[in-house]
Amino acid sequence: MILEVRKGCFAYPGQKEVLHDISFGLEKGSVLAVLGPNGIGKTTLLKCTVGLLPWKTGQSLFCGQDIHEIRPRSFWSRVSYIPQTHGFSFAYTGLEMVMLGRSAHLRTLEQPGEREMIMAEQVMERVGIRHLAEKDCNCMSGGELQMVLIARALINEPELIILDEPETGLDFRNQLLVLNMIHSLAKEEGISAIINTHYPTNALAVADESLMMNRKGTALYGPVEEVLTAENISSCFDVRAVVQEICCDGRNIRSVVPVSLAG
Amino acid sequence: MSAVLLMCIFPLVLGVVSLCVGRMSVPVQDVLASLKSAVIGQQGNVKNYAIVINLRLPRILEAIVVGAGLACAGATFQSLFFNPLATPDVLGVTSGTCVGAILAIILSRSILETQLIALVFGLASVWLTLHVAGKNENRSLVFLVLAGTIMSSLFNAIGSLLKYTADPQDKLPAITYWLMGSFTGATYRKLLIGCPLILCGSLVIWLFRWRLNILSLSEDEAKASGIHLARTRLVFILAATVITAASVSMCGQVGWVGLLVPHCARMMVGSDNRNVVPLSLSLGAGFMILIDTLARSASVIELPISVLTAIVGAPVFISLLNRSRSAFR
Repeated sequence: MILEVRKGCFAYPGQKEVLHDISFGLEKGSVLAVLGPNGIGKTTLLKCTVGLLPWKTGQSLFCGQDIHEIRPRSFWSRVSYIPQTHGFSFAYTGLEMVMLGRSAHLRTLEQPGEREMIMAEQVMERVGIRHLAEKDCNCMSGGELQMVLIARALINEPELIILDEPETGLDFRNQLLVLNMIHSLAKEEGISAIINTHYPTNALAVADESLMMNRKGTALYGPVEEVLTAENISSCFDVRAVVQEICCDGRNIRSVVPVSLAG
Repeated sequence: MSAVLLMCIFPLVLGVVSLCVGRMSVPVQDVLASLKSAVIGQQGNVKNYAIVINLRLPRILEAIVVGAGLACAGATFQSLFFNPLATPDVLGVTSGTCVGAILAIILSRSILETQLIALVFGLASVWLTLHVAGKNENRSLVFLVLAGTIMSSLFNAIGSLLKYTADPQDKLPAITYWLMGSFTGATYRKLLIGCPLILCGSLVIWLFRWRLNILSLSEDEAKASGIHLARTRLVFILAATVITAASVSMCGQVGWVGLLVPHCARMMVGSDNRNVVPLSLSLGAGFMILIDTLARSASVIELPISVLTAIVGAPVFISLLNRSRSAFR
């Protein structure tokens, strides 16, 4: 078990609890998709899971060890975090942005040098964005930026990647690029991933397990096919949803379609 | 490597040129001869030696250190506060330092004592700002900037009150001239108090400059780079404010350098602080030498530094803005 959350509860100071009794585990090379309505606390859950926010009660274990007992630099040299995309105050180039992902491996006064430069170029090549090395990150499209951020996560050589809504706002092609990347990293290189997503269809395509949060403050957790059923999605999101199975190129693809508002 | 050499040579060449220029122009070979005799320790031409070594050199050294320091402090605060318009004064250091100086002038203290009192007030004002902003762990940057603004206006008010009560015959003009900034009174003893602090602060920022890149990302991304966020920020805040307090206490208010120079650097080499910090040090030093040379040789009377930096800085900045609007999202 690479990551385990035990009975995690969280509340922002002076507010009522947003996360209540969350437990899940993640094996090496598997992908967990977190779903839930807007404002339910998906991002908060990701932040608590990796210690960017402190659990009120409960704990996160990384390879069996409480993450607060692991030195931050050694923890973050094994885990990469990609927040929801946003702008940057300064115009870093793609290459500079990717090199920033190597920071946790550098000693206190060390700066990235030749070695990191070569690593950054290789990882950008691998993700297919070599041409973005000199481009200003603030001028990139959503899809380009997301791939740069993935490259920044990969240069860290992580065992676990946390992605906050990686495919939101991207077109079909870019969605597939991002999802295929997550899938192949998990299956071929054993890099586990936790992703937040608003699209059950994407979760069904890429994830092994799913955690679906609802307004009642409880969460459904289990294999993705068992959690993301028509009834569960309908009740969680307060809509009427149907799950459709499409057979294409010998693959069974499940698609979730919201049909109407509930009631 | 050649770029590093160029960055070192640029202010040095400007410095030597500036040593030649002034009310009494001294030929380059005489300047170099004076410098040589100062290094060896023997007296050459007494008049040239007096002008070059005793009068101009301390000024120019002060200009180099102050210009480089303020530019570096400005670059630091801009990355730290995710704000390209941040200046070294954001945390109220400058106004605190000024209150100290005004007080010292009213109490008729000597030049060196004025510098020391101003320095102490500057550092105390940062301590106050940090204290107002709250505890280490949950000190948010917005609160820090707010606290800085509050302390700044408080100290400005105290400064005004002190000026109001100052003797308008001799104290008030002295205060006003001091506040406008000048390298006129530069001596090696003044340099000895201010320079080590500015050099230490700049060295710390220079050594940690990669971390400025990390800090300019969002808080979560910075934490996810494995750095101790609060501690790293504090190191940069202390280094930059020590620089600012030491500069202002040495030569009064010098505006614009901290804002203008890092921007010029960014437009030349991009936003990576591994390049921006060294280039800011070099350009800041060069810019300040230029301003000081103008201040003492452009007119019969000596012009105040802050007036010149604004008059030269504003048009340069406007033209830079027009040329690269994309740098400001």
